[in-house]
Parts: sequence; structure tokens; C-alpha cells
Amino acid sequence: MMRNTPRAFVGTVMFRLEDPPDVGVCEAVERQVGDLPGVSFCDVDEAAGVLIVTAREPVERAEVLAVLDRLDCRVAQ
Amino acid sequence: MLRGREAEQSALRALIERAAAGDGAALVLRGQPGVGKSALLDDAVTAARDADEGTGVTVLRTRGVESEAPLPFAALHRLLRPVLERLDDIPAPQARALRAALGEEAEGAGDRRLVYLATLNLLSEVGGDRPVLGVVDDAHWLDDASAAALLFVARRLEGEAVAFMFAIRDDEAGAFDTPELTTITITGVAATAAGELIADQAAAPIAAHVLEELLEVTDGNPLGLIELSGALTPDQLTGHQRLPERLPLTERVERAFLDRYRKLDAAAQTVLLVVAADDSGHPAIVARAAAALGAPEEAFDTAEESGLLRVSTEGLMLRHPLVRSAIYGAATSSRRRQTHRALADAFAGTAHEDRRAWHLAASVDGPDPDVVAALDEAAQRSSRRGGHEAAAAAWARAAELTLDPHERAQRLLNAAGANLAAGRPLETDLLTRAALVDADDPLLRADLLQLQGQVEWNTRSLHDGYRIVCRAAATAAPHDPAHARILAMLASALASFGAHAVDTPSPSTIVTAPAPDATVEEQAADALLRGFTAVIDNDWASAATALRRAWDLPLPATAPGLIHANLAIATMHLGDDERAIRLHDLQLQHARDAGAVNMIEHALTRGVVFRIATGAWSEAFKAAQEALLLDRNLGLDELAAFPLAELAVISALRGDPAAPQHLRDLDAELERHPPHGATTGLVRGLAHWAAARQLDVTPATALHHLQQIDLPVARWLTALDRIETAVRAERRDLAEKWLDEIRCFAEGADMAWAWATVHHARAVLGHGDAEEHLTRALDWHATSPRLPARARTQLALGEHLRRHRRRTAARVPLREALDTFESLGAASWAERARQELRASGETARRGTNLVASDLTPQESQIAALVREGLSNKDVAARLFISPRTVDFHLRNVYTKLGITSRTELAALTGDLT
Repeated sequence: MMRNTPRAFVGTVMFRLEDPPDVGVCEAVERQVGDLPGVSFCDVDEAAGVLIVTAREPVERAEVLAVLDRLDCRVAQ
Repeated sequence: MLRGREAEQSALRALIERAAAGDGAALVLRGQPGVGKSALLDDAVTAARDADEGTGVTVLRTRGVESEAPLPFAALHRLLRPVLERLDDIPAPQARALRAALGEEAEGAGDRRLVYLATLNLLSEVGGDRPVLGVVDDAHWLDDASAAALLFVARRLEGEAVAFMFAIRDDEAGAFDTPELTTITITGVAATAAGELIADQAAAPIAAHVLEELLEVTDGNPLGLIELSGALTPDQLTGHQRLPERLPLTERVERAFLDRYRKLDAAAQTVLLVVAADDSGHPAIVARAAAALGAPEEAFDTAEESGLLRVSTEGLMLRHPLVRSAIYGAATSSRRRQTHRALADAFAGTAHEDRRAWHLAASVDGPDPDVVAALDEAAQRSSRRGGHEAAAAAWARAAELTLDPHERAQRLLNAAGANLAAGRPLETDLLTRAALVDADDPLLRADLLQLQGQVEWNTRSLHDGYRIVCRAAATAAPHDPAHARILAMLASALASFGAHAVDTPSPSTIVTAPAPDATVEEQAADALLRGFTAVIDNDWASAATALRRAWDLPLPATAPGLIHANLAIATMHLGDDERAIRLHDLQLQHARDAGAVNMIEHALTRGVVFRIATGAWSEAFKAAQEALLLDRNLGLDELAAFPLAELAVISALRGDPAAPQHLRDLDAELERHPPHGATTGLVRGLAHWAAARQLDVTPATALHHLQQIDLPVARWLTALDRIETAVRAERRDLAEKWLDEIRCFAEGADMAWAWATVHHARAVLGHGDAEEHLTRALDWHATSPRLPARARTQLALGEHLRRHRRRTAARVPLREALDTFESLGAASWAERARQELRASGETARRGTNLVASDLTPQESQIAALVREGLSNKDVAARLFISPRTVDFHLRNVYTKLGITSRTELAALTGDLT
């Protein structure tokens, strides 16, 4: 599918980050992604360079990517 | 007509000419969208077809399609379709694998690398008749399976009459990663060409300052020049009105397209959105979906007249990929979902079930069991065809739409397993981690941890991998003791090859012993667990008892593969050579039957270790060469250090003049790909052994290498060399310590070769009567299959007797030693035996078993198989190369050996090196 094909998800999804973000950006990512409707857990594993998002209600993947985009965090393909 | 592209056109034509001369290569055109990559490819195809009447070129074309990412081998199928009737010309297992991968045969594709190889060999066969030009546009959007196959081919075109051209957007990476392919970066055209391009299209003459501004904005990008100038009014073109505000080029071009799109009526917009959402270009499907969304047939005419839609015999296509991204990106998410639903419905009942599943997945805004079921089926279909990435993607997407946490974790486990099969450890790790968040079921958690552990010990840390497998065993233990025992056995096997973690309890404490009436599988796992644990504790008596019990159990063929594999692995610890060769040969046979490439490599390299010990050096050399060629031919470079280390050891033991070169090859490989996982200790041990056995090293240097061998398996193999070298280097303390070590092993394991080593070493160290020790060593050797060690003891005894003036008695063991060394091709030891025989008064003959030649490893391997009576096609199948390549190398063999036929080759005696 294409990059902006609708992709709602529930459960846990991992996003591999291209460059490890600094502490401030990690906190912002966790706060802003955590605030998305449906997201029940969000954590950046800095050592692994991974964003972990758990959704109990459907969340659109593009909304998570938009937050990362705004905070200048690139997601590895 | 192309303007300002003479240099690029010339490079592409040269590529075709090289392929026509049998010097194939691949070329990548990289550049911005709209910079003219596709136009250059079209021009090259036209040139090739124009040349068709003269030289004859077969042109094969395909392109990456963004929406086909989850459809395995879709692009490859389009490329090869015109030449599939030639599949019978390549080895049957490869042809079967390719047919299955392309969905033309129901049977599973087996190992994916067979598909890659089949692709290369098919193109090679076609190229044998007429040069082949493969053209792949939009390679950044190739589905992963096609990308992997085409990369495999692109890297191996040397000597083939096949050329490949790939076009890639520089803002997209995708699965087609090409750092080592020759790349031409396509930049914008110069001012003169830009002016000509605009003049070809524009409604009014363009003012010089407007052209300059357009050139600056577009950087000479032809699509940008045409689209932006086309969107200008005559007043803007002539400079009487200002140009619109600036945007990045791609966005400007997209906006130009979008402006044209928005001027169309709603029905034509619907048609274009449907085509954008499914770029397969099936007219009937698009018509059905568009009709369901309210667009009448006439809307197609309007869309085509706008210039945004092209209708051809190949189907419907948008003017440019940027048209698609513009239209699709501008639609609201609910409009996109409606469109995907309409497309899913349109695909219902067709052969395109996978496309339907993915459109369904894009049409829902939350969990949906029907969509999940469709994705599950798509994953299974992809898996059967060897499309592991596509299977992983479908299972992962199904998991995202699954409400039940257990089912979701199960699907993520499937996705992780498929990624592992695709050779993507990072993705495997991410998916197992995601699944572990949700998985409550302990057995499912144990499976996930086992997979995670496997990735860890194979790609990163053996110790961390071991720790994770211990956790898997502990997790499963209260719920399924039999399964937990197998996992604990696996962990203990890793520990027996050097894994350890201070914060982890011994695997043997994780599970209890099975009940007396337990199944034979449980008993075997238990015996192996106890055996490996005893190995870790250096308790060789217990290890021998437990491992022998495991081998004696009547294990059915249906028992878990992990038990069978570890029964074979365990033979290394005791040096039970005959059993080891039998078990690994059986494993090799099964692997060959299944076309399981990794298992073939595994069985070959493990079998070589024991053949080195028993002196089956010719077989060992051939098997290590085969493993190495397989690694090289199939891109398994990270495994190549093991067979290279084996080749280095064999040639060093033989005293072969090529031994230093083998060692240099090994050192370079260890630098490039340091060994990972459970083979690390063994590979390093073999490398140090080979270094220590070079002819010109001093005893101190040899000892330095031998001191670094720490894995018991490697220490036993090298025991006599280590003790002899320590004595020569005047480190008697070390020699005594190492003798004590092998004596402890011999007392516990009671292996004949170990006792023979102990007695030989005692003679070397001067413990009592040397003749008596060497004679006792030979008594033990009589029941051991280790011929080289026996011959070394015979040589030592002969030397001892000759030095004590018992020249007649000395000749008997010296003759036996010489016979063995000659049959092994061990030149330096044979020469020593000959000198001793001469000193004892006997004139020794000179051995002739090695036929010196300048054959390359590939040539000598091919020659050896032909001498066994294999046909070229069978040799090709065995070595994963094409029959044409076999023929090419065989002709070189004939030339180098001064012969002209297979019969003459078969009649040669001795090994060809």
C-alpha cells in the first residue's frame, strides 16, 4: 500500500527511529503521542531507538507519524 | 525527443554493447521525480530494438508499483513472463521454485534463494541465445521479494550476456538498496535544452528572464519545466505578469497536477482517484469500482482528455507517479476508505485475492474479523510462494486489526517468523517485542522469546541470546515441561559452545527430570540437556554417559527438529567421528532433498570438522569448497568464514603451497564478517590452528596461536599439536597442563583417539619409556578412525626406533606412516617419513596423489563432481550455478589440464588442487 493509505491499528506497534532523539524530544514524543485518542501507552526506548505505542481503541498510524514529523523524528523504513 | 542527454544515452548504449559482448553489468539511474529517468530508459529500449535487426537483443521490462508492495514477486513475474517457456533449461529444483514463487505451481517455493538463482540462470540461458536487456523502472517501489531477486541478479552479471537498467527516485529508498551497483545521478538539463523543451510544448514564446527563473526553480528538471511552463498563462510566459509564489519543486509539480485535477467534474475525479488508489491498471476493475462510486463510463473519456490518465494496451496509467501522489494525498481519509472498499468489492471473485485483502485492510477504521481473515489467507499464500516479507506484512497488518490480545500476539509471532525467514532480524526483533507486550499465554511467550533469542545469538550477542532462551524455558516450564525441556536443552547447547550469563540459572535447574514412562522425545531432550550441562562442568564421564544414552534412544523421524539437530551437534563434544559423519550426512541428504540451503551449508561444514579429524581430507576439502561456493553464490557471506577456516586447516595440515593464501583469505574474511553465534569459538579455533601449522612459523608464534584456542571441541582437535608445540617452544609447563587436560577428558569420555593422544603426548614429554607409550598409543589408534593421528604416532615410533639404531624395526611404522601421509596428500609429513625411511636404509618412493594444477576453487569443485559422473545440469543444481557456467568452467578445466573430454578427466588419478 502507499505511504498515506489509511492504516488504523489496535494493540502494540513499534516504530524504529532513524536517529536516537534527545531526552527533550523523547519526552515530547511520549506526551504528544500519548495524548492521541485511543493511545493507552507510549514509550521511547532510547537504547533500542524504538517508539512503542499501544492502542486500546483504533488509532490512525498517520496521526502518530504526523507527531513524529512535527518533532523532526524520522522513522526508518 | 530527448534533449541534453547525450552523455547518459551513450552510457546506456555502452551497457547494451557490453552485454552483447558477454560482459553483462547493471546500471542504476538515480534522480528526482520528473528528471527524465523513464525517458532515458525508453530511449535505451528503442535503441536496443533498433539494434535488434543487427545484433538481436531480448528486452524484458517491469516496474515497481507502490500498491504492489505486499504482492510477492509481482514485478519479477512481469519481467520474466516472456521467457518463462525456457524454464526447462535450468536445473529442475530451481525451475520448480521459480514457478511456485510466481504462483504458476501449487507446490511451495522452498528456499527463497533458489528463486533468485533460478532467475539468474533463466536470464543466463536466454542470454546464451541473444543478449538480454532488463529494464526496471520505479525500482524503489518494487515489492520486497522482486527487489531481493533482482538485486541478487544485478550483482552477478559478470560474464553473462545480460544487462540491467534500474531507475530509482532519489527521495525513496525502498527495498532496492544499491550502494555497490554503478549509478548515474540524473540531474536537470542545461539552459539550451530547457529552452527547447519548453518551446516544444508552450503556447507562447518564453521570455529569457522567465526561462531563467523556471530553470532556477526546477533546477532543469524536465517534468518541472514542462508542467510549470504549461500551467503559466501566455502573459506569465512572456513576462508581462508575475509568476506564482515559490514552493519546493515536487510540491509545485504536484500542485500543477492537482490544479488540473480539480478543474475536472466529480465523476472524472472519482475515476482518477480510483486509478490512484490501485495502480494495477486493470480497466475492468477500475470501471467496476468507479461505477460503484457513482462515476459513469463517460467519465473515463474526460479523465483521459485531461492528459492525467493514459489508456493503452497495457491498461490504465496516470501521467506520472506525482499525479497519483497529488490526487491520493488530496483526498480525505474517508474518501480514500470508500475508494478502497469499492476496489476490494471490484476484486472480489477475481484471481487477485491478495490485492482485495489489502484494499479491505485500507477500507476499515478499526478491528474487523472478516478483513483479518482475508489478510491471514493472503499471508499464507505469500508464505507458500516464498514471499516471506509479504507474508510478514500481511500478518502484521492482520494483528493491527485484531481485538483479542492473544490472537494478535499469535499473528505477530507469525509475522516475526516470516521476517526471520526473509533474513530480516531487526524486523523480527521489533515484532517479537510488540507481541510480548500483549501475549499473556506463557507458551506463546516462550515461543516469542525463543525467536527473539535466536535473532540475538545469531546477529548480536551469543550470551544475551542464551539468556533469552533460558527465560523462554523458565516461562514454559510450569505449563509444558516437555517443551521447556527442549528449550533448556537448546540453552545448554549454546552454553556448551561458549555462551554464559552470570545472572541466569543453569538450564538444567529450570526443568525437572521426565517421568520414567516419558516419551522417547522427552528422554532424548533430557539426556542431551544433562550431557551438555556436564560438558559445561567439564564432567566428561557424565557427559559421555548422557550423550551416548541420547544417541541410543530410538528417536522417530517426526521428533522435533531441535532434538535431531542437537544430537548431531553433540557428537562434536566427544569427538565421536563416525557417528558425527553419519548424522551430518543424513542431515545433508534431507537438506538436499528439501532444497534447504542453510541446512545444506550447516551439514557440510559440520561434517568437514570430523573428516579433518579422520583424514578424509579430500572429501573434507570438497565439502568445504562446496559450502564456500554456496555461501558466495547465494549471498550468504556472513557464513563464509567457517568453510574458509576449514580449507585453511586442511591445506596447512597437508603442507600445501597454497596454505598461506588460504590463511590470508580467511583472515580477510574474518575482518569483513567476524563470526557470530555458536560457531564463533570453533571458527576462531580453526583459524588459530591453521595459523600455527604454517610451515615457516616459529614455535613461539605457533604457540601464541594455539594458546588462544579456548573451546574444548577445538582444544581436543589440536591437543597433540598444542603439546608438541609447547615442548618445542620450551614451555614444558604448558605441555604438562595440556596433557593433564586431555587425560581428564580421556578418562571421562573414554574415546580411543583421546587415549592415543595421551600416550603419544607422554612419549613426547618423556614420561617413562617412549617406545612403550607410542606402542600403547598405536593400540588405541587401532580402534579409532583418526588416520592422521595414527600416522603421526607411527612416524614418531619409527623416528624413535631409528634413533635407537633399530633401523629394520623402524621401517615398518615408517612405511605405514608414509602410505597414510601420501594418501592424505600431507606433503610435509610424507617428506619427513621419507627422510626417516632413507635414514633407516630404505629408498622410499615419491608419492603422486596430488595433481598440481592451476584450477580455481570453482573449477576444481566442478571437475571433482564431473569425475563422480554427474552431468552438467546435475553439477549446476548441486552448486547453485547455471549449466552454462558449469560448461564455461569445464572448458577452462580441460584447457588447464591439457585434456579434451570428460572421459579423460575421469581417468585422472589423485586429487585436483
